Amino acid sequence: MSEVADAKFAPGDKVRIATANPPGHRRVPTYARGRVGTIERICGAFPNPEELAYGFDGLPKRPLYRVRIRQTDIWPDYKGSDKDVLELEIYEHWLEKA
Amino acid sequence: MRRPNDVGGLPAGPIGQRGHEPEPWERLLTALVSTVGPAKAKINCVDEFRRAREDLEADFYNSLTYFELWTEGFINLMEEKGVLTRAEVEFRAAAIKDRSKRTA
Repeated sequence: MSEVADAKFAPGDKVRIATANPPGHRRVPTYARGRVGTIERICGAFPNPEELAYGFDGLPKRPLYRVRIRQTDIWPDYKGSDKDVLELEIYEHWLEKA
Repeated sequence: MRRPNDVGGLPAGPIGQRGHEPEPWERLLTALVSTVGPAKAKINCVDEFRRAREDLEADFYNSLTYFELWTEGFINLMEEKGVLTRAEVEFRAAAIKDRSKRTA
């Protein structure tokens, strides 16, 4: 795990993925928007791919987190175990404290 | 805006699981795309290339195979960057087609 000095969230924190729908090349899948999960780890800080997608340098680097969400919190009719989780890597600017 | 690749959770048919050997042109395209990539000519970056594919109109996107998607995205991106035009690609493709017809 890389050190990210100014990371806003720490492992274990509860977060909500933004419900926003801004124009541009956004990679957060629609099904994940608005869902609440837990920070599983800080992956590091990386150039923002939403900027890289249009030829900019993507700086400053943005903290990236692995967010763990219960499958039953994503799919209302989920048939598997209620212990099943999905982990998504989401940049900090898509997350808010839940 | 929901892009054509963002289909998680939408109703869909069964997924085709059968693999196939890549066609020669698909291998060529893969080589070409990586040659202009970040480590080499720095003309293309992976995030731009992905955006160029996912910019395609949904019906068109869904009508294409994987490497056809690559082709369309790549041409658009190279045109956007002023490296080449679609007309140049089509002209060259027609010349190759013509040559292979004559030598067949």
